[in-house]
Amino acid sequence: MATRFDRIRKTRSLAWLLDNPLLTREIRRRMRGRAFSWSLIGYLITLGGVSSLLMFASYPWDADQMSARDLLVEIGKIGTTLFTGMRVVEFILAIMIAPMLTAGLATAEKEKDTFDFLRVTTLSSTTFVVGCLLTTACFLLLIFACTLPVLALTFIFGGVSMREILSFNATLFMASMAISAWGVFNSTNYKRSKSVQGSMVVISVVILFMMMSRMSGQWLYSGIVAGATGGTPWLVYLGPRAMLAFVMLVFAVAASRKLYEPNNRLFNYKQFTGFYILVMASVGGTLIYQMTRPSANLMSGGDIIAALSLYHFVGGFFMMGAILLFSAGRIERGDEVWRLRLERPVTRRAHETYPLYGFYLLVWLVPVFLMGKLYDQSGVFSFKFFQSVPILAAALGLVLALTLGFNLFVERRNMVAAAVLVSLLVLWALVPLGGYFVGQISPLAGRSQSVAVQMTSTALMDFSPFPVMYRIWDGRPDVKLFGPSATAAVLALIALVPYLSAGLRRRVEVSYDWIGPSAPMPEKAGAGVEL
Amino acid sequence: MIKTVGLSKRFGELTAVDGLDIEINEGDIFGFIGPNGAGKTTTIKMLATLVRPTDGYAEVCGYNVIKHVDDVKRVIGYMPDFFGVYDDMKVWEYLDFFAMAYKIDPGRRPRIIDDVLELTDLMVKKNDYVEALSRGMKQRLCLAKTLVHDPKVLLLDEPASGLDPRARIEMRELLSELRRMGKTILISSHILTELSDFCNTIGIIEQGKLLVSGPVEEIMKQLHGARVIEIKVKSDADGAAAALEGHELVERVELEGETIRAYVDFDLEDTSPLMEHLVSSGVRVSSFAELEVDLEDIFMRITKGAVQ
Repeated sequence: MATRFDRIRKTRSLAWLLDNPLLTREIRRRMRGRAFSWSLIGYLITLGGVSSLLMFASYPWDADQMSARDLLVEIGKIGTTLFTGMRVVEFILAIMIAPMLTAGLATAEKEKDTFDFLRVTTLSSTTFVVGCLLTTACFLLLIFACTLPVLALTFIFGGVSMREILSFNATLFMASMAISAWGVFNSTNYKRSKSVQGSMVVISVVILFMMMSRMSGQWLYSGIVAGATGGTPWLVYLGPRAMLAFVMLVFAVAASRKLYEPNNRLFNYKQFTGFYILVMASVGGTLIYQMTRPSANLMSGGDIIAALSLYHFVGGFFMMGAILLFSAGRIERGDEVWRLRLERPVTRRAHETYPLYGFYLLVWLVPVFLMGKLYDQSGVFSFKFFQSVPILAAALGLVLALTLGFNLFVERRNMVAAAVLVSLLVLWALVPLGGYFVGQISPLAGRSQSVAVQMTSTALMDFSPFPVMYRIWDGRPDVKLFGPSATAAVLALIALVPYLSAGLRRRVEVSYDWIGPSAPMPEKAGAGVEL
Repeated sequence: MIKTVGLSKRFGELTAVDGLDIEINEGDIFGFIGPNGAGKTTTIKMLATLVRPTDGYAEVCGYNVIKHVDDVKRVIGYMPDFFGVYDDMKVWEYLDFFAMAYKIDPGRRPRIIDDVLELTDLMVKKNDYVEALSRGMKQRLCLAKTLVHDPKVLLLDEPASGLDPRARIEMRELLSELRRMGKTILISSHILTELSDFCNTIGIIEQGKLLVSGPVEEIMKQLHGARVIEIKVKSDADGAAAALEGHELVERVELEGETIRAYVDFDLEDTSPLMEHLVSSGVRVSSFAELEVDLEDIFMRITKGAVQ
């Protein structure tokens, strides 16, 4: 007789990775609690506070006595100072937060007498550990996304390249994942969550101390990375992350070996510690190198042209993509509401995110005002915020499409959504590439290249796909630069969309019919029934 | 379905289970009886692959519990005596979590969740938070979780402990339903009334050793060797006892006040000739009934410790 068990599907694909019970459970549980929202807001307030202090400290108060060129250089310095300060704060906070996300996962199961439940299922220890790490990755990405609007303050002033920001975030992500893997490993060894968390605090502090110690960091950096490779630039970027990925893997494998059979002895615990601290310190050295090396300043580039019509086109395309994705989600006519087949409330309810909106608004108001004032004084650029409206539309469409596409693909295995998602991503990559080739063959190629050379050293121009668009439309003299605000708006939107979509999903959750309730919804579940 | 040969578990100096031999056939409801600390939970955990045996052999559905751990996990449903629940999870999410852990196809999970909720009578609580459920409901939810992958064998460790009388009756009805569904069930309890009208085979364990095992009827026969008929008379109990002693069906007679206990052959189906014999002898019988020998009686006779 065929049983359910006989028909159990054995998946060996990406879906297996995402269909992780632990990941789903942790997202469901943690996102419901208020603690996460408030700790995130606290984190952002800390970051915003430090950046505000840095901004005022490095503001050129004697701007009216400067030449236009000097003023632009000074503006660039604000961005550099901001970025440096925020990197330090973000690094400290991430290194402290990341292990806390996973440190108690295995021990909590033991404490709550649910561990045997898990062990008796066919859930492998590897899946458990992978679930822990995916949970951390999701939360870190959310934290990073929410940090971007603050980090993007630097774009207003320039002086920091996109590559630097991406490089820093990638390294920070891997460092957090590695230390988080250590947290999982520790939680397989200890019996009580508090012991694990205590141990991870000590470990984080030791690592941070070593990393913040310029001498040890610089020494380790020069000894391990630069010395060993002769200073090959790409290794500076690849090296630390590859090392961290390796560390993460080692801890993950060790944790999965020890989870169900705590007596498994793989390596000496002290070997892990020594190795880990060495690696983390070398990464710290690299970061310090990144922080202390001279950054490119904003240069006066003459008239920089933007392609408004292209933005309109891209915006429209992304909006269409978003509509397509909605359609792919099959809007259905239910008893009382229009139904959209989405599920799993990943985010908070909309009204609970208002403090966050307020925070973003506050953080942005002052810098935008200051930047506008400075640019006006420079006489080179004039700041017109309304000009970025088409870009806002494009950004909104993109992030909406990506968010929905991701949800539909991950949650519903919806192939149409996947196709739209892939096409959007391809477009995102192809537009700058196409623009580059157009720029090469256009009669204005020579001019566009010279502008491009000047622009690469400025932060905001590195943000794809916008730089290429500037190149293509280089011939038009009358359009002023509005890249900084647009870039910043994109980043802000990326961070805001998950929160905005919380309202949408609140509506969607009501009609979620393949696994969730049809009606009525429980009052305490946090799911509204009204549109 | 379940077979153990010389199954043993030692924790340092302590021998929790000592040379256990059990055989449970398909469709059997095996009551695992023993006082606290007798080794019931350790045995069940060994069968559930949670504890590795020190010695001996055990198999479930033909799968060795040491060598074929994953196969055993797929065919068993294990419900521990004490368990916790996850906070901030709804009932259906809780079951979805375990369905996912059993790698059940996402498309089939909703149907399965509804099925097990229906079976455990928790459908109305589908969207409630788990921690808000009563103890009895949590117990049923745990059973629902145990059934989510449609196991052939259920290992239930004290499934009704800590429940109020109503919840206990509901749990018993649920287990009866599972029996009707053809599940093979190993159920441990130290509350014997729970098991008496439910199990067809039992095993009694004390201090890690299996004292007796087999069908309930057989064990009763082994213990008593006879069935007991309790007769109450209006007067002349001595005369009535003397009349019974002379009867060919009666093996032994005990007299206690106005009550007479007549021991007859275990396989004797019809006891009416005895009644007729008494009446024809002029005895005024006020009550004539077979004395039910329950599990509690068997347990008390076999074990030395206390039962709770």
